[in-house]
Amino acid sequence: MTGLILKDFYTMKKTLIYLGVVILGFTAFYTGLGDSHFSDFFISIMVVSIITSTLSYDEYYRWDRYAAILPVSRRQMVGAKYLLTLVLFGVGGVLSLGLTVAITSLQGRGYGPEDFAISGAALLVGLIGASVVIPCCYRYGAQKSRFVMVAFYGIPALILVAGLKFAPGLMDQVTKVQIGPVEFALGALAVTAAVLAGSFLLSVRIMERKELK
Amino acid sequence: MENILSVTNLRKDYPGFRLEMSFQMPQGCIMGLVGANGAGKSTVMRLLLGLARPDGGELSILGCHDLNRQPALREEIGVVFDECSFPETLCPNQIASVLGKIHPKWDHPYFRSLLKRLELPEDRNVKDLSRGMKMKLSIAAAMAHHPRLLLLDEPTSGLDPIVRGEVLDLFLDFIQEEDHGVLLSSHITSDLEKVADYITFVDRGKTLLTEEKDLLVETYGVLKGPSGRMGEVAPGDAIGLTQTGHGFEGLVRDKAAAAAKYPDLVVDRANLEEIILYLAREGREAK
Repeated sequence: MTGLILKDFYTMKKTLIYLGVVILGFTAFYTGLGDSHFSDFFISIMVVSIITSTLSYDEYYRWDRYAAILPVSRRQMVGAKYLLTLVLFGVGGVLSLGLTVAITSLQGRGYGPEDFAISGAALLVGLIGASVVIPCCYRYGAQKSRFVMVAFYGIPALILVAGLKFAPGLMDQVTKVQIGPVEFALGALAVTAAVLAGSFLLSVRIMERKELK
Repeated sequence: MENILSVTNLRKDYPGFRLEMSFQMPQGCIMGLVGANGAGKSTVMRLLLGLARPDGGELSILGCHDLNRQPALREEIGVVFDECSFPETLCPNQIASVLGKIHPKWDHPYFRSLLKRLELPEDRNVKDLSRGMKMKLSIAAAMAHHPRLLLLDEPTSGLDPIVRGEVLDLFLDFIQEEDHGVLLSSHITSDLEKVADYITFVDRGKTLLTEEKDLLVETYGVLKGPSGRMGEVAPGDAIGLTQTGHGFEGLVRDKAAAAAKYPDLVVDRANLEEIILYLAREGREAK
């Protein structure tokens, strides 16, 4: 399985370096505008985009067909992609944390629990996004799945904006729901883990049934 | 001899196409799988490899009926597809690092020696390699883990005659081990004539012929004569009897018998390409 992940790193090496520069550039720009959490969400979205790109490359080079004749099972092929997802989110999380700590220090306000919550939320939303997009890539192909990714981020954002504009009372009610921060964090982690596990099983099922041409 | 590959009434249905094949391949030999584009050669390879599910019949590859149930057995198999599957941003060294972590028996020195033998650079990206070089890289990667069985889908297409010769020599070296086997699909009948021990001819999804190559070449012949004597040939004695610029000709299944029955006509040795062409023509006329 490490071989399959290594292949993705080799394939994406240049893209990762390029994205690193872009992330630093945009983060510096938005920090100048006073936004200390731009990097959290940007990194989260970029990681989902990278995963989709690796699946897109696999499709283009017909790598899945080749991997399926190697001594690995389809479950391992899919597992490698999910492991890569976790590794990238891990690296992205550390990078995101480092940037936010640096930015909040520069802003002279220090890194607080609220910052940690925002960074964590960005990562978990990204993981759920990846969990939605990966099975779609296996089933419908990477190109069509990019629309799913746009919809995943776009539709909730539209609902939020529409809610704030047309039903501010309802939004106030939502924000009044009292859940302790620890319970909320554990709940969010549990939901994300469940979605990720479900997504993995669905992807395995799709791949095991798929005829590779 | 034990069969390394066995296909019995293997069936696969696609809209407008049905594959129905049977053949056996003993170990220690090279079997040439020959047929036109779309005849079903790649489909049978995919079925053997578990990339597609059969709709009927039986197959056995290294004694296994479904490789998806025994993925570890794929360590014993090397595969070359009709096009290179390696990402273009990888170089042969990186491909070796990747495959070395997947194949338990990957042999780095042997891979490097194959690259050297096939005159491939170790550090040039796949995107900078010619089609022929990509194919040679695929072949080296398919052999570097010391498989027992090679499944090769058009591995010599796009290669110049000199390189084709080198690659065919590699396969001949590979087959020196008596428990090895090669299934080689190709349009290039001269390649098969050079290396194959058995020929399986598939046309429009059906096995029209599966036989030892030497037996084919020894027994089949081309019956020839002047145009005016074409009527003397009894129906069924020659396949695809046609007028040519110099007279007529048709394929006979038993060269010696034809020579005895038609002593005044010429019976020449038939090469593999002629046998295939006539049999394909017969198959299509029958439909």
